[in-house]
Amino acid sequence: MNLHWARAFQQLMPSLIQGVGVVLYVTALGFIGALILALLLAIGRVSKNKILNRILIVFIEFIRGTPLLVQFFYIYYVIPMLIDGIAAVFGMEIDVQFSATFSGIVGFTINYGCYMSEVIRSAILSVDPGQREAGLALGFSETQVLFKFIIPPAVRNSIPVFGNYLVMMIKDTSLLAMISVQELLLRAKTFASQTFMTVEAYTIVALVYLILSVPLSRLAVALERHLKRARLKQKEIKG
Amino acid sequence: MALLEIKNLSKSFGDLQVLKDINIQVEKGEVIVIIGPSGSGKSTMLRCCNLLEKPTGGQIIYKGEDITGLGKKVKNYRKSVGMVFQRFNLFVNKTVLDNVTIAPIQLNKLPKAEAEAKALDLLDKVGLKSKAGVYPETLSGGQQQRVAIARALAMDPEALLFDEPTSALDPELVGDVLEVMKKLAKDGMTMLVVTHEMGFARDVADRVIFMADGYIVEEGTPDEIFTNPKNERTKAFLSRVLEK
Repeated sequence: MNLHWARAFQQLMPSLIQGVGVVLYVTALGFIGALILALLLAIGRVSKNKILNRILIVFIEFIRGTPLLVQFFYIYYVIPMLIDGIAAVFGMEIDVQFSATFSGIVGFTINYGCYMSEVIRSAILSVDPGQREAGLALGFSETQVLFKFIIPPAVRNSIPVFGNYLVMMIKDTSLLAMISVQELLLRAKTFASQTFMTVEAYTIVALVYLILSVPLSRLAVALERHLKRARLKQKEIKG
Repeated sequence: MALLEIKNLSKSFGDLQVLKDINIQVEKGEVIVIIGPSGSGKSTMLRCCNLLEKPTGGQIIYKGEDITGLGKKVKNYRKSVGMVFQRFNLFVNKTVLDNVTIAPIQLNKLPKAEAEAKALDLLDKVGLKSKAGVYPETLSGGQQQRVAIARALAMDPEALLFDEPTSALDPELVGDVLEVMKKLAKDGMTMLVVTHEMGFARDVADRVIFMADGYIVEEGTPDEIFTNPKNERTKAFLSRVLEK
């Protein structure tokens, strides 16, 4: 077997660098979307509204019980058709299409949002009930207490787990190759099939994923430590 | 008119009745200490006073108004009656200074500079001005409890409820907290204190209430309760705790 690492590297790298851009773009937007959705879902889940609670449980179980890849396909192919169909009922003829990248971002938002909402929810439930009582006793309302004294420590305690999810999302962007997003895996696959440098292409792409994900998980650990240290230091107070 | 009046208060958790027909009148400036064995309902009674527990029956009357039926307006009442908890319950995500200023700034719309000046003044009074910039987790229990008292005072309350404020503290830290409470009492603060500190009850209380099994068994001046208790249960309890 003849392997041409230098040539493969030279020819594949420019394309992969563009792919890294796509991966970071989709992950960044997908993760921010997931965080926002997770927070909303978690708040809904800890609210006292039983009907809302039931609906959210069903929704979250539905998303967690189906594969992420199927969800990407569903958003990319099925949802636009459903929208067209509904529009047709009202006598409108439209042709909705989502870009593959957009579908990916929405898919990540929904899928990771559901998983991360459970993280935030359990973090909210594990905040000392004394925080709530202290807030109420001072005259804050239940809602104020939730947003001022419960959610901030809950989110802070969730940061290490969020770090793991971020790394997972980076790797899961490889699934987007299946709906034709020009991310890393699809570029490597195209390159391999054109040049027959299969070993080189897939090895290089695996290493690129590694280079992306390892610093991120280190970063999450560092952030956690930094937050912890910041709390042990004294803040400057004037007066 | 009494500042705070607890009238025929009862409380049940399911089938378990923990408070039965409690009646207490708190006059302005009065310090009332509630003692009794664990499980006698003292803390529940105190928590009913600002509706952290919802009474099953009876009324809590503050300045002539029954607050048990206030619904969401109970917030305004809670602003004027502060509470100090056994486990301090300082806000973990706020510095000491922010713990003290957040309620005055956000609920009473006090300007930030004014609130901070006042907070530093209060922290000075409890001996913790130098700790204004730290987070609660770096403080000892006794320091946290003194911050909690400053936080309650920052709202200029008409009365303060203390729920076993020294029970969670190491013995050597109890003194500082009791010192602060004594000073408050001397300055005329209306206080309702649930505690196991018999020395504090004897020295500071205007009235001592002994509770057992959800009832008020006996009440009187510290002298009456400690040197000349009439009820057998009071005698038994006091002989047990004072032996130690």
